[in-house]
Amino acid sequence: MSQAQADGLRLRVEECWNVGLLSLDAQQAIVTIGFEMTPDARPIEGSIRLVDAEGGSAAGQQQAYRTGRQAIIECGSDGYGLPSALYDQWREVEITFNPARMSFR
Amino acid sequence: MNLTTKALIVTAALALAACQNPRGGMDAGFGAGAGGVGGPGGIGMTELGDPNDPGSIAHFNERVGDRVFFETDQSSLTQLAQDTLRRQAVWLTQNPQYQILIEGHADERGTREYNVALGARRANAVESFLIQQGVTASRLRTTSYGKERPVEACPEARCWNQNRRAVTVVQ
Amino acid sequence: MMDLTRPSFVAGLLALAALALAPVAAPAQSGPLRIEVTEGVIAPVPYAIPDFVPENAAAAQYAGAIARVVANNLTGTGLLREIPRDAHVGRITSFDSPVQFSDWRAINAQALITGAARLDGQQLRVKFRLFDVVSGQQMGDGLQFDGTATNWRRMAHRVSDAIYTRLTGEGGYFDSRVVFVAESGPRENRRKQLAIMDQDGENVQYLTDGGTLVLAPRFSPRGERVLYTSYEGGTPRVVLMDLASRSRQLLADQPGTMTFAPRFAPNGQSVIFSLSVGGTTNLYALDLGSGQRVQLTNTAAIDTAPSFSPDGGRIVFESDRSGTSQLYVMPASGGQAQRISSGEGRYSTPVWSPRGDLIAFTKSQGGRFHIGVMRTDGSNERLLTSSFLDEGPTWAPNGRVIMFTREAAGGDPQIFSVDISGRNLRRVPSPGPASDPAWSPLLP
Repeated sequence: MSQAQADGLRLRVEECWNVGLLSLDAQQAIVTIGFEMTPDARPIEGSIRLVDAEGGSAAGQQQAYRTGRQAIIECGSDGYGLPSALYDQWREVEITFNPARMSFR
Repeated sequence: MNLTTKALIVTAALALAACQNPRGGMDAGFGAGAGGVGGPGGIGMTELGDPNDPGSIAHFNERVGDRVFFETDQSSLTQLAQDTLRRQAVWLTQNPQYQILIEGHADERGTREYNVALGARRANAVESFLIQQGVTASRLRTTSYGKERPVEACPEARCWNQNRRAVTVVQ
Repeated sequence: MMDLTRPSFVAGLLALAALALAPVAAPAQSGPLRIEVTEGVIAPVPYAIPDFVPENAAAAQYAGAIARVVANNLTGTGLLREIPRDAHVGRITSFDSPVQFSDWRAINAQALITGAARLDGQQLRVKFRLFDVVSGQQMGDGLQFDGTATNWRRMAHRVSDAIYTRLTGEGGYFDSRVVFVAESGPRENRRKQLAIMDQDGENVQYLTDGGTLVLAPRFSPRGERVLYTSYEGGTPRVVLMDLASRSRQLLADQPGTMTFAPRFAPNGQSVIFSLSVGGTTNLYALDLGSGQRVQLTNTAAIDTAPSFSPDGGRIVFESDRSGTSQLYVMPASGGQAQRISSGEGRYSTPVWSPRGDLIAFTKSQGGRFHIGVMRTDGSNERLLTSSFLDEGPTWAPNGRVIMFTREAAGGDPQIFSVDISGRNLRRVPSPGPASDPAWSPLLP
């Protein structure tokens, strides 16, 4: 699987990661969300789970998780367009959402 | 000197006064742009008199010059300002029956409260100079209108220059 | 968390030589694909708010109006976008019936607000629920508000605050008022009146009659009194007005001095202000109980526009002691002042955020004016606006939004608001030209 293909997934998620409603507290949280994909590169909603969280308060991390989860589902609803021949490489994904550059503190 | 010559001289004098005094003589004396003298909603009244009468307020406003101007952000008195204030001091000491209110003003290119303080600084600079020139201190009061009472409101140097002023109001 | 460093270095090198078709070295068959997302979008989230259900006929006039006030508040944040009612396919006909989420997903709503109103005599009861349409879950508890019908707007604002908090995790700011100066007449002889309105521009009332020049009103910490500067004696003096009775008292009146730029201490028991005498302007504090006055600064400069930190321990103010206006912070009892502004240009009108984390200010540079924010040590300065004349910021109760005065060259002043991200610049409605806004805390 190429770097370009991994970047493609990242860019698609970035288009849907809506940080507008994040509280200033949640903007400090870095959350890692794990999930599984179907063979046609759609996220399996039931598999989405919080793998790790740091920064911000518990409430901020919760909000950051909900927002990241929303992004994964929204931009993957038509599939992420990943090559099915390499399914084993992207069947499981972990995305770390780091809002530091988006924060307006 | 016949009447025509006198009339010509008076006309020339008035024209000269108008050049030196951008506000002109007509309404310069009525509170000189103040927010109202004499209590909430009250209106003070002052007889201006005839500018030809050297002891009249109109004469002070139009012939002596009732105001001085400042550079941007400055409260120091220019040479021209000092000349005007010397003339003011002479007239004020010759006419001790009047009380004096010095109003400081600023142009619009600053924030509200700083401009009130800047106007106060300008009024105080004039007051100190007049006292130094022999005007009795107890006759003098100061106030500041900041940027609230422009002589003319337009977003250009032409107006800003007129608004950065201290006006000596004779009452 | 992020372990693509090694392979992406390799991948980066190969990418230089050819199209980026080099294989991603790790992970192999085991271990998930790991990606870091650092950029996102700020897009208003679509929501739907059908008219609230009138639970009896008498409530009909309030049910729709309350929903509109809520919608106006939420959309006005710039964070939410209302899906118009004529696009709704579902209807809410009863507050307690289960919601058909498919109806709301069909119009791409991510949030749904349902509500109801009931009027018995003069008693109005308003209820609401907030739903996350995507997950089909209610967000937080439903709430019910009870009050007199004349307070229907305040109830709508409290509904708005509760929804806002559930959606953003932040405190709200809608149940609040703004005191300001209403202006009229020619610029050379401007008529200025104190006025007060709800933060959405409704319910305007006038507090003075315009016969006397008035400037820059500020609220007391609980919002029941207003300090302002009045020219009723011909010189600027600080006045304290009680909003309920409209009774007024002159504070710190001393012949031969001018007083202005007043603000309350957070405990509501003392007032700080500028006093000009002999051409210098220094800061003074006045204890309202004892009447005792203390001088806090003693320089030949102009010290003005003081503002307390929310814990009452420090004061930020504007001083030109260095030659031009800059911002300084000192202990509330006076003493050593530290300069915190560091950029080019002049800094004025500092106001400490109610959250304590930021200081808003006016900056002028090169003939332009800006509203900006900085951290309380002066770092991270960000300018939020730019125009011919922007000045005098005031904070929303939650420290996320700022109102200020904007005047176009040769134009009339208006009140504007902006989010601290710099987004969502909007005009705040007022009856005419308006300036010097001050935002109240959330109403009790």
